[in-house]
Amino acid sequence: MIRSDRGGELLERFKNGDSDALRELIELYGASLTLFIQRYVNNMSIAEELTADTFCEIAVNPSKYRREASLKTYLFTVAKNKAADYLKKQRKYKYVPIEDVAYELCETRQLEEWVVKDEQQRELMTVLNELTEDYRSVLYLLYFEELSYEQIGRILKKNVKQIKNLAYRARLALKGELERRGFVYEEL
Amino acid sequence: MRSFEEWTSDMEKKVETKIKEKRKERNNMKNKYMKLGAVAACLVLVIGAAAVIPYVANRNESANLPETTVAATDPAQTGDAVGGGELKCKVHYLYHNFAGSLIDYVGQDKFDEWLESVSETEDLSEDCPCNANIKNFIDYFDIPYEVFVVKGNLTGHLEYDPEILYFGTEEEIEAHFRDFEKFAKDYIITEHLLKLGFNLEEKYADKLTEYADRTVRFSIPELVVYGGITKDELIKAIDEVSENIYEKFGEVYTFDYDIDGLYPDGVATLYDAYAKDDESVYDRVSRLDALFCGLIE
Repeated sequence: MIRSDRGGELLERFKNGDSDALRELIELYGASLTLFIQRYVNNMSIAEELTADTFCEIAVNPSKYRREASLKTYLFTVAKNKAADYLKKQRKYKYVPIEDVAYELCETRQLEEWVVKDEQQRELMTVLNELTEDYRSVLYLLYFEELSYEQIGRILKKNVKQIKNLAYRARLALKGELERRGFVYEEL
Repeated sequence: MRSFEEWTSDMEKKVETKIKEKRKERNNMKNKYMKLGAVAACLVLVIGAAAVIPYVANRNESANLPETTVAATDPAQTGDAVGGGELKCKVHYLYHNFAGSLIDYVGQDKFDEWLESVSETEDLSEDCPCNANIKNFIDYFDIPYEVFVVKGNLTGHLEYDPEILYFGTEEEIEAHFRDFEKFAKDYIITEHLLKLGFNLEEKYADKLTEYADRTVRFSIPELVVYGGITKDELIKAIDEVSENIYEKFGEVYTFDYDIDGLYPDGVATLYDAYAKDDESVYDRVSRLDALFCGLIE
């Protein structure tokens, strides 16, 4: 699981002309961001494009990151906005061929393996996919990205109280889903 | 199946490609703003010199349509309008208008960066796709109210209420700025008319090369004389302007230009006949356009 948040330091190095820093940033957050976006757009290719857009934004306009939050929080906020903008533009239902579904599953699993090393956590991630968008996002950011309520609030544009309420309801939904699948639910 | 390194490498390439594209776009945008700045300067000179340039005189062309009177709005009187080139918003105008003094206050580079970042989130399917609005500007740059009122020159032409902007709810702000729809309409019509002159200049650029040192646009009569625009071409160009306005607002506008007066026998002598030696080129352009509009004799 990616726990480190040394993005600010990497961004400084990038601003000072260290081209390796961009690659390190991508290594650090690329897969997590893609998985996060994929949960919104449900398409791995699009998620990768939007992830690239997210990195591009921080690379082209590094001064926009004003250190009010960690770089990680900032990147997830940008990613969320990119995903939301994309969804807003995609008003029509799109047919997804079966081979694309297989590709999606394969790519998603691969990314999950990179991001989440623990088998049990990966099972949990699969179950998360059955929840609604809001629940999925809040639990993903809480458990897999280990962000605080405040950080999640910044990303999802809600206050801490709303996030706490949302997380509470999301946990209940997760519990129901886990029980439905025969898992024993432990307090998370 | 890609390895983590391969995936990262692919992502890095994607990001680098996008960065190059973005930087190219940014350069293009800067050029566009420079061009807009030059155009705005011309407008200020041309229109300001004439004091009043009612470019538009309209009349109801179709008996089925209600008569509408449109007084041309002087873009030079709207602050240093910079809103990303063509106004994409269908419901606001002033909401997307930034006074030059405010831009100077935050710094042109920072302003450009901000414009670029907000323009990325535009949704063109919306009535108001432009996130480059004054509210976001104030929030982003954290402009104090006192500074805004002074730098925004709100005692003059910008007649919106800064208190609503600063202390109103989102709904109040939206409603307040929507009231400027008429203003936006006037502005857009004027903009279309001015484009008519620019488009014709571009079209007849080869015939106008000898006047390349002109610092202001040509008046329509001058374009007729120097550019050799035919009557049919001029009428077609004016009709296109009408169509653009119709598309935008669903109303028919025609322009009460004295086109016949522009094409008397011996058109080549027209300009000489009306030119006055002692007037500046700005005065001349304005006067000839007013003449063209049938406003003076």
